[in-house]
Amino acid sequence: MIRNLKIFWLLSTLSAKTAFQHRVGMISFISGKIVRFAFYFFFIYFLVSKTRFLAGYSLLQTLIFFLSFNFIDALTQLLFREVYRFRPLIISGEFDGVLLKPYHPFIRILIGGIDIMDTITIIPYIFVLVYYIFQIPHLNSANLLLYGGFLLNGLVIATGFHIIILAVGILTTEIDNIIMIYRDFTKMLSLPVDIYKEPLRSFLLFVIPIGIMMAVPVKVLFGLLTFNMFIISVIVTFLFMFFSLFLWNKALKKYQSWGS
Amino acid sequence: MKKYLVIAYLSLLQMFTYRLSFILWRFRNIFNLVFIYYLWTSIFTNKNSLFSYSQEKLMTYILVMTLVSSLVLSTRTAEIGADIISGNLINYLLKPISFFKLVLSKEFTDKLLNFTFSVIEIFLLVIILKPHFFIQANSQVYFFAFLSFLIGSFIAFLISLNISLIAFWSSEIWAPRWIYSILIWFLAGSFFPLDILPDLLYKILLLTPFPYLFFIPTKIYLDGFSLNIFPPIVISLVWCYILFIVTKKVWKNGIKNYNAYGR
Repeated sequence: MIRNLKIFWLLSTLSAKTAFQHRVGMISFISGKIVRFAFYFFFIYFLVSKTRFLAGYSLLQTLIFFLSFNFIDALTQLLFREVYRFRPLIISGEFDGVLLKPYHPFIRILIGGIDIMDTITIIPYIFVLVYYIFQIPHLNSANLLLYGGFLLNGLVIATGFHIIILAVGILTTEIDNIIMIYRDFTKMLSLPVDIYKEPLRSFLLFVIPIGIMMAVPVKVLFGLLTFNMFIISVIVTFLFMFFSLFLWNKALKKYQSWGS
Repeated sequence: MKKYLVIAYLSLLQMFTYRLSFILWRFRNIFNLVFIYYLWTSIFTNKNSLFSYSQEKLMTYILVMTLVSSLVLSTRTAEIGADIISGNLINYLLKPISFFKLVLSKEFTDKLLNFTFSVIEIFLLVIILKPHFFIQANSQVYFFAFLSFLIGSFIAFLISLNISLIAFWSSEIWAPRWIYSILIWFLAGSFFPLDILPDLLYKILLLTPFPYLFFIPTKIYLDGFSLNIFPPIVISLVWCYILFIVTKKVWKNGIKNYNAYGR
């Protein structure tokens, strides 16, 4: 475990050094992310302050949905940025070299280099999120604890998604668009899942469990989650993670090292 | 002319080479439309009108804007930046063809393909979602909406081209393009009609080129002659002229110092 952490730290340091080589690009990307956040925040604030409710949620609740989405989204990008760079490894055949190394390939291709830009942008996201959470009237500490637990649950689902993307990448060499589709799906949950009608809502919650990843933690925080939904969320997460690892193992068996 | 038609045809074949990639990319456009559609449907629950828009007009805005934006924003100019950095640009400059006619041929193909698929996608979504739809009855309005759309396409082409031409001086071309896409997302009206914003903010935005890309063409379609059509068309033409002059200067200066390293 300690050896793996050391490798993770080394890869992350190297990744940060690489990012700092392109200072202008880095500053532009960070500025862009903050501008995008500010625009989106302004839009939701402006819209819901005029309409008073969005799918039955108040302005404060809608903002917490949006801020929680931003936190989970930034955290997953921060941790799994290396997945975005997986395609060249497959195309060139360099993935062989990764498989031959005496550590699990996920350390290199899944979490092998945190994104320093998201490490910077996630800090203001956390501050704004915490500020608005403490604006909730009669905030329940049990709900707050469960909210943290379900954020972790969301991180597990995000890990599963990224493993699936890697597996599909091995099978088809198609990664960029798959990642962007995953991002588009998650973006749909930047607002309450209740804005979608059935069967789309159930599809987002249970078939591709983006809803469990993004919406369920916030519903827990507001005390809106039923016990049945609680159990279903945990079971779906477990099944989804199992499926992602199953697909990964299948993909590895199909890998033919075309590029090398 | 014939050789540029061949280039356009080859460009079309090239786009279909990576079919899975193409299908997935089209899939993404549907997501964005579905997201915006449901957001506004939810907002209009138990309301007939909001921000001076009826539900019918707002849903029409979303669908028409999606169609217009797919045409206005589809471009192959991003490739020029990569060609400048790799030195590949020199291959085009040495050939007995006009570089800009080549770019326009590819651009035409890209827009044609995007338009075709957008029409199919929107048609399917209209059948599935059955939104309220407003059809403009005044046929003269279509002419001005089309004119505004052509101007918007030209503005988008010139901005995108200028972003690519940054590559003459810096290899950091993806960050400006990404920031441009963020600005378009919010300032061009791809998320909401810009005139729902506070009046002062809306008036300031009208001085920038962004509303003329697809908000104004869509607005002309919706409001017809009840909208004062001429001021926005004049301002957009001024932007066209400014951007055209800037592009000519940037290209001239860039190509003068271009060394095509690696070739």
